[in-house]
Amino acid sequence: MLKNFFDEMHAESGEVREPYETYSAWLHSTQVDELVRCHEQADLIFRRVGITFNVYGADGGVERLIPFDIVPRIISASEWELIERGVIQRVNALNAFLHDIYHDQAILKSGLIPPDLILTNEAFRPEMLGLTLPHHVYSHISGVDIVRVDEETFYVLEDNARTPSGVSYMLENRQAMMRLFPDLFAKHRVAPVSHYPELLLETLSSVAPKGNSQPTIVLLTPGQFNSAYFEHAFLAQEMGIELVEGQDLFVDEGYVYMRTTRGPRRVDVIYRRIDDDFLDPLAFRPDSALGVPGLLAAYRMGNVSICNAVGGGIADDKAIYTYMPDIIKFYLAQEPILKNVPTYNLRRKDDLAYALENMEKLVVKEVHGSGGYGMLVGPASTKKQVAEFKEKVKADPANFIAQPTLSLSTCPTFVDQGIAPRHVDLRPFVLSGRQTKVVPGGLTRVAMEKGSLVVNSSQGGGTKDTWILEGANARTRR
Amino acid sequence: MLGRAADNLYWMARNMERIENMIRLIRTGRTANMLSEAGKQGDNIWEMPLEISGQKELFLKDYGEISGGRVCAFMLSDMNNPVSVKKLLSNARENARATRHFLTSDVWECINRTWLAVKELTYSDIKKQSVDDHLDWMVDRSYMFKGMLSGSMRRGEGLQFSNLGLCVERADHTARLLMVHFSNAEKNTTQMGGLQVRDYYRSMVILNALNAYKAYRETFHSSIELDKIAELMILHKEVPRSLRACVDEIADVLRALNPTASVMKEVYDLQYRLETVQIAQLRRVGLDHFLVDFSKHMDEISLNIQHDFMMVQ
Amino acid sequence: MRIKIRHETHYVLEQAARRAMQYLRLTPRNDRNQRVGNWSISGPEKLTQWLDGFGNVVHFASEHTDHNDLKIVVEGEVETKETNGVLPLDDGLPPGMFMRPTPLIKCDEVLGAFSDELKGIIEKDGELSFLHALMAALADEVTYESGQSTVACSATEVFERKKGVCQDFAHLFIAGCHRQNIPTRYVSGYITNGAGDPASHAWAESYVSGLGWVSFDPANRQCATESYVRLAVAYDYATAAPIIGVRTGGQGEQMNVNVQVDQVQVQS
Repeated sequence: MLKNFFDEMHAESGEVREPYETYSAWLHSTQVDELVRCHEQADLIFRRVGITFNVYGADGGVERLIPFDIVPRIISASEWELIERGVIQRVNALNAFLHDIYHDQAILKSGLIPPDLILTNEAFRPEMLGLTLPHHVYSHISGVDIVRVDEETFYVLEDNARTPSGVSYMLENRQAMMRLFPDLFAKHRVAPVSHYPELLLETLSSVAPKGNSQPTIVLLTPGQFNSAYFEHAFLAQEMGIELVEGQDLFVDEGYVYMRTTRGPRRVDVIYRRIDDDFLDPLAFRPDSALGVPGLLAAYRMGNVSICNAVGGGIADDKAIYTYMPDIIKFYLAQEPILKNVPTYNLRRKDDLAYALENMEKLVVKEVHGSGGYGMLVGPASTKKQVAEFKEKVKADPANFIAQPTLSLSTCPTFVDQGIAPRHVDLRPFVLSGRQTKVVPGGLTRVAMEKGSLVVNSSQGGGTKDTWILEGANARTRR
Repeated sequence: MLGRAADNLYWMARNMERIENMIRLIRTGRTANMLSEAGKQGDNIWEMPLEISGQKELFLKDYGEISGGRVCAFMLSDMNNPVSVKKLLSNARENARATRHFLTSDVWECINRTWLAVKELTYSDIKKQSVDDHLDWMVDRSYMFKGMLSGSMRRGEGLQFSNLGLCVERADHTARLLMVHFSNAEKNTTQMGGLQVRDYYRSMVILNALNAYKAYRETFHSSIELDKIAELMILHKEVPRSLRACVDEIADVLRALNPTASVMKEVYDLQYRLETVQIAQLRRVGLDHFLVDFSKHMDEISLNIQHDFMMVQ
Repeated sequence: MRIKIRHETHYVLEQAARRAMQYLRLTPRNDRNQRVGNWSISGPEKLTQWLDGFGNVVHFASEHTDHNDLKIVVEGEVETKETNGVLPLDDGLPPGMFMRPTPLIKCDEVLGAFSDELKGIIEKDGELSFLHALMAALADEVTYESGQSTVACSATEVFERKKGVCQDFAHLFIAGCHRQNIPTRYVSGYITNGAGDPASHAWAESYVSGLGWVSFDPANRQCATESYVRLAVAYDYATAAPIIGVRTGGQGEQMNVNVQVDQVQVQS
C-alpha cells in the first residue's frame, strides 16, 4: 500500500471502509483468474461497441480505448450528499457570476475581483454583453473535478464550464459493469445513472428561446475526427436528436436551420461541443470551417440557444478559480461547501517568488490550459524539467498558477500485478436549466501508472464506474 | 433526417454492396480458374475485376503482370487501391461512424466487427487461413449486414436511404459487368448463340458473379446463350440483380421517401423503358450502347437523389 | 452639421460563388454626437439587423444563389453635433475592457519605448496632454501612404515600416495608450474632409477619467469634429470591420468602393 495517501477502500488502521465492506468481501472470495477473464471481457465489450477516443498527434488521430478498470469507485450516501450540495452550489454561483459580468458587473464594482482580470481576459467575450439568457444560465453542463485527500476533505480542482466531456463513459462504464457483475449489483443498492440523457434533454428544452415548449434541439460536433466524437454520437442517439456539423446548419433571416432530407428545418437549441472560437467564422476565427456564419446574429437576436453559452469560459479560467470562495459568498451569501485548492496566482509578485523557490513541490498549470497539457507536476519531474518550466513561468508569470501537490486519494485498481492502489479523481456532471441537478454518479478517472497523479485520458489515464450507494445501505459512521 | 446523414447512410450501403459484388467476382474467378484449362484461354479471367473496378492502370503500375494471386491481393487488401475490399470497408465504417446514432447497435457492431477482423489482415495472412474461407466469410458478413439492416432498423428514412444505396450500387455493378462482358464477347463472336468454349466459361462467370446461374436454368431450361443472359439480367424483374429489378426497387424506395421529388421523373422514364423494350431491339442497336446509356441515366439519378434529398452543397 | 452619405461597395467575381454571407457594420450608431435619419442598406438578397456586444448596428447579409457580383449600397443622412471630441461615458461599455491587447494592437518594446518617451507628460500635465502629444508624435513619425499595409497588419508591423493608412494610425495610437494603461478603443466611420481618400475613416478614443471618451485622429492630427460620423466602436479593425464575409466557391475577386460624404447646406 502507498503510505500517506487516503485510500478509498482501506482506512489507515487497515480496516475496510464501510462503503466497500460488501465489495471487499466479494473481492476476497473471487479468484484472480476470474478477474482477468472479466477484465478481458470488458475490453472486448468496449472495442465491439466502439467506445473509442481519438488521440491527437502521431498519425493524425488514432482510435484508442480508454483503459477501463473493473474495480468500482464506491461512495457512500452521506459522502455523496455533501458532494452534490457542493457542486450545485458552485454551479449556481458560477451562473450568477457569468450573468453579472455580462450585465451589471456588480462584483467588479465591489472590488472583490480586480476588473482587469475579467475585462482584459481573452475568455471574456464582449459578444455577450447585454445578452440575457433564459433562466440566466450560461453553464448548462458543468463537469466539476473533485479530488479527495482524507475522510472529510474534498477539493474542487476545476469547474469545467466550457464543454466538459466524459459523461458517456459514466454511462457506458455502468452498462459494462452490470453486464460483467450482475451479482454485485444484487448485493449493493447502487443509484442509477442511466436517466442522464433524459435529464440533459429536459435541461436543454428548458432553455429554448422564448419559452418554446417543443424546441428542436441538435448536437453540434466538430466531426468524426474529434477526440470525443463517440460521446457526441452517443448522446445524440440517447436523446434522439440530430448530430450536426457546421455545414449542416445555416442562418436565414435571423433563424438557424438544418438541411434535412425534407428541406430546411428550424433549430432552437444547439448543444455544441465545439469551442467559442469556431462557432461563427464571421464573429470569431475567420479561418474556421467548423462553424455557422451568422450564428452570432441569431444568438444575439434571441432566436437560438447555445449550450453551454458563449463566453462561459471566463468562469473556469484558472485565474478566476482563486476567487471562487468569494464568488460563492458574494452571490449566494453562503459559505462554500467544497474547498478550493490553495492556489498561487503567479501574476502576484509574492506568489511568483514562492512558486519559483518551491517548484519541485508544486503543480504548475497554464491559466488557459486544459486536458493535462502544459502543466508540471513538480514531485514527478526531473530537475531539468523543473528548470525548464521555471524559465517558461518567468517569461510570462500571469499565464500560470501553482498549487501544492495534492495527496489524491487512491482506489484499488486491477493492474498487471493484481489489485493495487492508484490515484483517482471524480467528475460529477451538473445540469442547469430551469433547475440545477446532478445525476448520482460521475466519471472516476484513475492514473494507471503507479504513483502518477495525472488522471487525464490524454495522458494515459483510465476510468472506473462510480457507485453512489443509496441511503438505506449506507449507514453513516458519524 | 439530416441531408448529410442520409448521404452517409446511402454511401455506407453502397460501399457494403460494392464489397459483396467484388467478393463474388473474385470467388467466381477462382472457381473458373479451377474449372478448366479452357477458362484460362484467351482473355485472362482476372482482367475482369480490374476492368469492372476501373483500376487496371493502377494495378499494372503497382503489380505488373496479371495473375490470380496478385489480383486477389490488390482487390482484397491493398489500401492504395481505392476500391479494394479493405478500403471500401474502411469507408463504409467511416460512413457508419458518422451516422452511428441512426443505426441500431446490431448494424453498427456488424460493420465495426467486420472491420476489426479485416483491419490488420494482409493477403498473406488470408492465404495462410484459406482464401476461399475468407471469401465465404465475407459474403456471410455481407448477408448479415443486410439482414440486420432490414431486420433491426426502424422502417424510416434511415433504412430507406440505406436500401437506396444497395439497389443503386447493385444496378451499377450489373450494368458494368454486362458492359465489360458484352464488349469483349461481341468482338470475338461472329454469330450470337454460337458460343465458343471460352465464352461459355466467361458466361458462367457472369452468371455466378451475379448469383443468377440457378435463375437462368429455371427460366430458360436451355443451354447458356449470350442473348439470354442479357435478357435475364436486363429485363427479368424476378432476378434480384437484374437491372429491371434494381430500378423497380429504386422507384419504390424513392416513392416512399417523396413521391413528388424531381428525380422521380427520371426514374419513371427508365422504368418505363425497361418495361417496354425487347431484347431483340437492344441487340440491333448494340447492347453496349444500351448499357452505356443506362449507366449515364443511373449517374444522373444518383446526382438528382443527392440534390433532392441530401442538400449537398 | 447635416452630412449626406452614399457608400457603395461592389464585388465582382471571375468565377461565380454559390453562397455568400456577411456582417455589415455600416449603420451609424445613435450616439450623443449624432442622429441618424433615413438610413438604408440595399443590395444583398437578404438582410437581418441586430446589435453586437459593443452596441454597434450590424446587418447579416446573405446570398443563397449563384452570383458573379454583389453590390452593397448604404445611404442616408446623419445630423452631427460639435462636442469638442468628447463623448460621455454612457454607452454601457466599461472602459477597462478596452485594454485588451488583441493581435492587431499588441504593443512591443519598440513601440512601447516610443510611447514611454512621452510618458513624463502624464505626471506633469495630465493624460489629456499626453494623448495630444502621442497623436502629434505618431503623425510626425509615420507617413500616411496607402498601399503600404493591409487590414491584417498589426501596429508593430506598421511601426517598422512607418507607413500606413487611417486604421494603422488608430492601431498605433491604441497600442501607445495601452502602454500607459489608458483604455483606448477603435472607431470606424466617415469623415467629410480628411487625409487620403475621402470618406471611410478610422480613428481612436481614449478614456480620460472625469471627462469621458476623447477622440483622437492621428491620421489627421486632430480630435474628431462635427465632420465625423461614427459607425462602430470596438477593440480594433477586426472587431469593428465595416464588412466581413465568407463565401462558398467563387474566385478572382475584385472590389470597387465608391464613397460620397457631403455636407448638406441647410436652406433657411
